Amino acid sequence: VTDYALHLGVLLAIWGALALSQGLLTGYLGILSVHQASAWAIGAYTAALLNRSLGMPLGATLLPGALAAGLLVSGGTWLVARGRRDDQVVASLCLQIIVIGLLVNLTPLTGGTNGLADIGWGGPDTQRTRAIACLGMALLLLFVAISAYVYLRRTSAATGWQVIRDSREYAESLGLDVAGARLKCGFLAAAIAGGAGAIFAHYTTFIEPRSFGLPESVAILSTAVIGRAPNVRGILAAAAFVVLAPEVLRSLGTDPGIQGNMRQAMFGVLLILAIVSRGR
Amino acid sequence: MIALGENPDLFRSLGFSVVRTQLVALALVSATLSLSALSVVELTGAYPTAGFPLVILGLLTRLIGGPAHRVAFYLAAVGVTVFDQAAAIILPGEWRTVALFGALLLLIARRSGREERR
Repeated sequence: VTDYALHLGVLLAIWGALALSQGLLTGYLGILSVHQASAWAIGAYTAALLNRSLGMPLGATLLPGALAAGLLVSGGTWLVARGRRDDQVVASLCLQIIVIGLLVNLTPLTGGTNGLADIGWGGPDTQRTRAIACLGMALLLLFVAISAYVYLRRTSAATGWQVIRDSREYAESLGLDVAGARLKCGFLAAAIAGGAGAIFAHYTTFIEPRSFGLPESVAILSTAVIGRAPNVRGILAAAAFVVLAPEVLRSLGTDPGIQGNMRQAMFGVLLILAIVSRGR
Repeated sequence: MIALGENPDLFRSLGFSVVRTQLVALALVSATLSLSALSVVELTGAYPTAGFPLVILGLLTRLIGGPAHRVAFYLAAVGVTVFDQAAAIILPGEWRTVALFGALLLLIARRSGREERR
């Protein structure tokens, strides 16, 4: 296996987990949120800080990263979920910008715009061993995320969440705990994204607030919409598109300066097609 | 347009064209925004996200003051502008953005809470 294939494997697994985390919110609770990159960021910064200050390795930072993201972001998701559809997007946008603003401003802790560098993973410092370790952890996280979907489908929880998605009033009249469902789903989604952030920090060795900006959140939301969440295969296919589209453009010899814009344009077209086909 | 915003089904049942009214509304919004963009560009220069902070101020105004055909909307516009400028004086750089979006999030949460209780 080449280093390049390993690199793609890590990115595919990380983006797969991120897309599935968004799929929980959008697919089961119908929340159109653009703040999933903030949970990703909190997981990444938690892992980076634990590694730099306490020397904690990759495996040990995954759970704290996931928990920190789950605890800090689920409250925000609960707030976002209470609003109407249009309010949800704006509230979620606010949450995303507030978290990134805090990461930029809390310079003594987060390094501000300079970010945090020299994040180790607890093993031999070669690119290949790091990539193999991160791929293993990312696949484990992906397995956990897919298992969460399977578990939800086998229990009544997913049905209850979908009732809340379709009509909050009806769900309340059935005695369903709407606030509790939103908190649980928000926590699970943020924890998966936080876990992905922890692996990402160890893999890239350097993180900065710009890595977790609004374009990333929009891309994560797009994977859930294009992949028709909660359809796991569709979500994973859309996540693969996010990772592989720039690689395909690069292989075609496209100017590196326009590759990012081209990816966004392609995503925009796919989103419009997904929304139009859903409307029918 | 106000009637369409309040109840699209009733609007349609009265024989009005929803699509046509929406297109007219969007054209008016775009034209007004273009005019305001001309004056903003003089101050900030032209770049793709130049109008973003102003759109957020507009959202805040709408949330506080309600629809634009009420006097409260214009009073809210003055209040939001004063709040934004005061934040710019008191708070350094990026904290202003955090304060602005924090205020917007609180307002949305308050409104959503009220609507849920109804």
